[in-house]
Amino acid sequence: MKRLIIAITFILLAVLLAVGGYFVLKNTGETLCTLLQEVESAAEAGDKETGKEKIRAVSDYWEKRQGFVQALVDHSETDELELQLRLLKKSAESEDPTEWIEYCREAVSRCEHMTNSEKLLFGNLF
Amino acid sequence: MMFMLIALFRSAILYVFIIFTVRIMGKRQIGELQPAELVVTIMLSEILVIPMQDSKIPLINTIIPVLLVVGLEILVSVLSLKSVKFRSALQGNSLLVIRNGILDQAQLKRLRFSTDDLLEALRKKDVFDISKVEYAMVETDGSLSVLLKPEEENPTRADFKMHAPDNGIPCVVVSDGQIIESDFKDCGMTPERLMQILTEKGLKASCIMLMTADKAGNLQIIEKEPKK
Repeated sequence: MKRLIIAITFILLAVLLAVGGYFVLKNTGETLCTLLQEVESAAEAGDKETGKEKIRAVSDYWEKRQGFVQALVDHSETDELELQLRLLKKSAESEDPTEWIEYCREAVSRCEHMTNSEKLLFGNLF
Repeated sequence: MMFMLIALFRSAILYVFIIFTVRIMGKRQIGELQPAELVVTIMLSEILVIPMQDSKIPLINTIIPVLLVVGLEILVSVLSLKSVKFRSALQGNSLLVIRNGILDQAQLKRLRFSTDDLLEALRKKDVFDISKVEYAMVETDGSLSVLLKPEEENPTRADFKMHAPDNGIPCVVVSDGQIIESDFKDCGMTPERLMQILTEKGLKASCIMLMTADKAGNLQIIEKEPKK
């Protein structure tokens, strides 16, 4: 009976870690994409102040979630995303919103790739 | 430098984790590997080695499969104990390959066992003549169990109706200078009795490499070699 409880605990723990990790990653990815798209919209509208504010929001959010995300996905993927976000943060100092748009699009595509690679899809399974 | 430190810590974490999980799996998995257990052992070693070498892979990607594989393995072993049908479906059954000195060729074919394999397995059991075998069975782990014909068996004390005293298992009383009190009750030893024996022999426990005792009071003492 004791061994059965251990077995079920191990299996449940594995399932919880996998499902929990998936949802943490999904939520983080979606929020990050939304924030980046807001930066992009602000840049496209030429609203520099809102754009800078949103870039700060993106940086703050990433700093908070980076640890969790890094523990869940291949570190090379998070490294690439972090590089894009740093470039975006640096570009906020410049007054050229077209640069922001470029970095935002690149970061969104990396972010989407990271979350999509964890989805339970036929292609990912095999 | 940082990557080396990361590799060091990751290896230590994985080592502790695998020792813990293998310990939970139980001794049976290490001692006598059934086909499913062999697969699990190989899987675990493969799952653990990759993240030890590649620090880009998150440890969670190792922890989840290990927990799942070990959990399923324990679950399967518990179910095997509870259900005969499940056990035979998973592990197969032992099969008789020799009956009354005659080879069962159909079973040998079924097991994909050549006569050379069978003869080799018999020789490992010190049997060189099939006709001397009453029964030979291929066990689920691939080993061969042999029962010789009664006339070929070695006589035992029971055949001669001889009484053999039961001295019990000799237990370790002192090992490498350390007194092992946990085994005392198995050989009827007490700390006082041990001290008495050591005093009589003029020895100290710290000078003894190995001392064993059995229920009949037989002692074996090996003293430590002097340091060179």
